Amino acid sequence: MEVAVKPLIELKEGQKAKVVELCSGWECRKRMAELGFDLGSEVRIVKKSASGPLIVELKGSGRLALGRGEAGKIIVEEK
Amino acid sequence: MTPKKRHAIALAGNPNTGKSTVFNALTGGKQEIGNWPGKTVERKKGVMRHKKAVFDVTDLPGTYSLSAFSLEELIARDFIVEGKPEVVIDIVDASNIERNLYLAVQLMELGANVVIALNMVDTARSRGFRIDVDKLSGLLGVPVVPTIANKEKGIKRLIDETLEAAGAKRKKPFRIDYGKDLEPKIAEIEEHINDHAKKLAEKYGARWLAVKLIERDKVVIEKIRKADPYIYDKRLEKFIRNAEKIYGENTDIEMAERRYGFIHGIVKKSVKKTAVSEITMSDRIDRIVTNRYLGIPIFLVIMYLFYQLVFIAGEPFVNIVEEALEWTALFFGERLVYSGASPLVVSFAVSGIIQGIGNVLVFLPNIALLFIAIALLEDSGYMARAAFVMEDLMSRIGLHGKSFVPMIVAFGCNVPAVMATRTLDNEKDRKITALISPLIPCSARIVVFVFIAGAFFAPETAARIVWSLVVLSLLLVILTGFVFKKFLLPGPRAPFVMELPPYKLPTLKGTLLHAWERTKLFIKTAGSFIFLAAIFIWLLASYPEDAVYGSTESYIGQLGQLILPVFAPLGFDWIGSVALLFGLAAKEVVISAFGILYGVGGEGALQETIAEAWTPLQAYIFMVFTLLYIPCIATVAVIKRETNSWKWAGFAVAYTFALAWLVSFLILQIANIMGY
Repeated sequence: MEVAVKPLIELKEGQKAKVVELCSGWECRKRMAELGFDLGSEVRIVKKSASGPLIVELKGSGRLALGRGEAGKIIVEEK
Repeated sequence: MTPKKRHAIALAGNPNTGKSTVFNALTGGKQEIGNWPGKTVERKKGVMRHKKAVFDVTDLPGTYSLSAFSLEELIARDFIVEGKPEVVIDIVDASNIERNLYLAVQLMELGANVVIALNMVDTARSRGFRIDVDKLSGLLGVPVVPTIANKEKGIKRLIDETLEAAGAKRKKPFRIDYGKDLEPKIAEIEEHINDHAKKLAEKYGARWLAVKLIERDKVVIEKIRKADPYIYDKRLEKFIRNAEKIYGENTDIEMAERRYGFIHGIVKKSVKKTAVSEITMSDRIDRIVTNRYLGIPIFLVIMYLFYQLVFIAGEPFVNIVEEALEWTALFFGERLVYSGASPLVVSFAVSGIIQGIGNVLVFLPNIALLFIAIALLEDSGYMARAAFVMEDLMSRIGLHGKSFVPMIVAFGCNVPAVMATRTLDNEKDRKITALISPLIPCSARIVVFVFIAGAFFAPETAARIVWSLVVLSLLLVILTGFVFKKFLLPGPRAPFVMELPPYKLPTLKGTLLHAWERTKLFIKTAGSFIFLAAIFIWLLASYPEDAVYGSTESYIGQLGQLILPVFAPLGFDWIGSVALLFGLAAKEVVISAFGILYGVGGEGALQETIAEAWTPLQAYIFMVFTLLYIPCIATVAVIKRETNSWKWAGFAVAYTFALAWLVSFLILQIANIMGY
């Protein structure tokens, strides 16, 4: 089976994916870890527009706002 | 249980879990607010009575974990170790159970006696979560009590369970299995700690220290190094590096994974999510509220309503306070004169004390309403959306979306604006926002502008003049923010990763309590400064003994003349320079200072006098200077409090003064060149 691995930002609204790589900056990783955003977490893009942050659903509940820069550094495996 | 024994308990929990609601429900809203010793993080304490037991409840800062990443996390962690609470109630948002349990697991690893309050179970149920509470409790090995704190449901049982847990014997510390690769390494380090840092091991638990060492927790490393630098550098460091061989720099992530893995297993067994529409009500609201075209207009409309609430609803109260003050001044003034008090005493009572109290009270209704409005925005969940909407714009000057909210608040009053910078996670951003917010004209300064502009210009022109000042301030906020971010406090842009709590209807009790806490804090920190400044100004204006109040002979008059050379290039006379000194106590005092200095009573008459004394250009430059120069003493005090340093407060004074002078001078030169 072919799996597509790409930055989170490239997903479309409504798409689901699994996190395979976190952003690399210390502070970014820290915030991610705090909010429960870790490897293997399941994410779904709730809202994405042409500019501004994204809204993602994490592990089936809760909503996180994610800056575009951060979303570009998180690598996910499409489902 | 012996009667009257006091139990220490602590409340922990992620942000947005209704922790303060639980705190209020437990302590009945009677609470003491202060700061954690030496820190700028708010500390809330309250007392809870139940049957014969008395509980001292400490509300820990809301955190997502117990690492050494932020001040809040360190405070929470230290309190659990040093304050030794008998029970830690962890408030868990039932609809975010998996994420929230991360903190619970860390609390348990630290050896805390945890009782979980599974809060907002009603919301979780309506969103399709079926939680088997008994199973969850059994798997975690701690009591779990479902609660709906805003309806005060489950609180009684929570108290009972807490009481029982306080009396129960401590269980063995809870352990997470970090896997067959890491466990031997942990054991190795544990042994060393037990052998060489006994005191620390007794306090924190050797295993916990070992785990933290492998995670390269800076604070724990420092602690152990302090206890025995030799052991750390020569032995432990080697073991840590050895442990890191397996997962490299991802070791801490791997360990977090293990914790999440444990939690995931438990949640899988105890929580069922029945199919429910994946688009929640909150999502639907967010579609509109955070829409890229509608977001900012909606934000502006909400801010407009925000200020309508603050000023229109506040006006009758302000009028009452003003009248009461006038009446009090008249009443006491007359009484004192009749009783033969010396003019100095009368002046002290009226211009010193009553004026001082007046400076605080006149703005209190607006400040209180401002805090209510902020509480409404926060409790409804909109505050996070405001940051979301502004993120795109703010990121262009290198700041965080959350920086925008304090700036909006600053239009009401700079003091709560500086207080609101606490919502920022990044310390540098917090400082920058606290430093630039005072450039935004607060309502007191707007009053001065309306008064002066009204003296010189027809109403429409005056309105445009005031508007130009607001635009000027916003431009300078952007510019200084950019410069500070780039040169003064440089650093990478704080990541924009933020929880968007579901929208909810704020409760009356919660909102009022929230606002009341802050208003109290305002009176305590800002009020005393404003009052003392008024007394100080009165002293300067009344002495030496035979000087006429505020005249050139008085100290303040002398001071005004002394610093006049500084203002002369801007075209101010000594009256302007003295009025600016008066304005340090509270900006609106600038107007009454003119009244005193020109010896003119009544608004209209004073406006005429000023219009004769100054040219319109002089008036405009004076307004520009008033807009930007040193924030009032209360704002300076609050900057000191929030940055925890006189250095930054001093910097705020110095840079605003320099900026005010430079900008005023530049505008004057440009106007001169253009032939005005």
